[in-house]
Amino acid sequence: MKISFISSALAVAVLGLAMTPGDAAAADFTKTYAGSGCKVFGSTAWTDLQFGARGITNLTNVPKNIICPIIKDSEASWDSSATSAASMHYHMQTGNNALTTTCNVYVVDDHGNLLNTYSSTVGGSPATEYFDTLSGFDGNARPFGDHQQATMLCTLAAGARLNYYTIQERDPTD
Amino acid sequence: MSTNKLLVPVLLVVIAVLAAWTLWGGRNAMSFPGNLQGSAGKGDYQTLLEAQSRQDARLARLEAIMGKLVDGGNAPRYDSAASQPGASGENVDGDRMTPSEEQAIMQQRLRQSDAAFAAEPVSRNWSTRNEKMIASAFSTGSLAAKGAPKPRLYDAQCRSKTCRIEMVYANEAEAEEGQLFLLSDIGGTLGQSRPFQRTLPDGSVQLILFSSASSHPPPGPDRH
Repeated sequence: MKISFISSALAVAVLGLAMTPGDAAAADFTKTYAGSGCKVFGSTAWTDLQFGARGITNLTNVPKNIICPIIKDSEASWDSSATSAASMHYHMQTGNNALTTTCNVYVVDDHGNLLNTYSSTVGGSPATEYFDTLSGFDGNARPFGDHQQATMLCTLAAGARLNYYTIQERDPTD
Repeated sequence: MSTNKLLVPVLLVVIAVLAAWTLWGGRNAMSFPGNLQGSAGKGDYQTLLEAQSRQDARLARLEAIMGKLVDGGNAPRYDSAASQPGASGENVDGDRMTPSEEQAIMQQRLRQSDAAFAAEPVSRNWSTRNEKMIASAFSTGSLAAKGAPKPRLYDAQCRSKTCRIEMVYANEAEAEEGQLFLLSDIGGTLGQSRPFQRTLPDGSVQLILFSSASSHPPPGPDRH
């Protein structure tokens, strides 16, 4: 009985070792960012916003601009070839109003030249959660090339909160 | 008990097979140029860094030798990470572009986008509707309500799929914020834009956007 138990435990341990970390990482191309990682942009003051575990909230009654980092750490382009999976989306919570929030991805080359912008607008219903795709980042979008970076800039409506945003890369980090 | 006795050798065989499979998979999980091979999943980044350093040192020695052979040591040195031929910011020879070369390329792209825009047929309904939307975004009331900077001047023309929006702001900071506020007003309808930005001699910043619906990318050369 003891031998049986030891043998079973040994087999489980070996199977666990066989599942290498590299295999697990290769299947996961998605990066998720907390909204609280965004910063003020332009004339927005830090005190206009509330930063918390749930995200970043516009405390004022006028729209406020924020800028959010996007890390591109794959050698290949972002995923734009998948027809069923968007390559960028974000999760918003509106305030107690019907105002809309817009998020844009700016694509910039190494020298700071703006190449393209992609916009998405959500809202229309008070205190509602939205989960939306950045336009142009769906299956019809063209991929990013090398030497190009992206940043997300949002205009948060009054009371709106950006919870988090995600990107999907075509290849895993290498 | 006899079952247990049989189980031990069977498990040993399974262990041997799994170990061989794991080692084989590790070797083939990722390969690197040169003589370095291994699995990134093993976390042996120090080895990778050391190999990279050796390759860099080798490249530097080769460059030094080549430089002496070509012009007695005055040949330009290139950063290996930034000298991939054909990449953005480089000319066809793989050299880094000067600011004036970059500006020339941007101007050429702007001319191509303008030509493509001019060739687009006009849909009166579509153009009128979108020109009104843009005008509304630039109205004094709208700008004031958002706290958006006011452009020194703006002009918008729409055809059947694309709008060309030209703005001049006092400086770059205002141009960037003005563009973002504009996108918040028009982004729901005109979801993609190709921006061109340049600083004018008086320090003001000219911004030209070719904006269209997400389903119709703006005209002009591919900028990827």
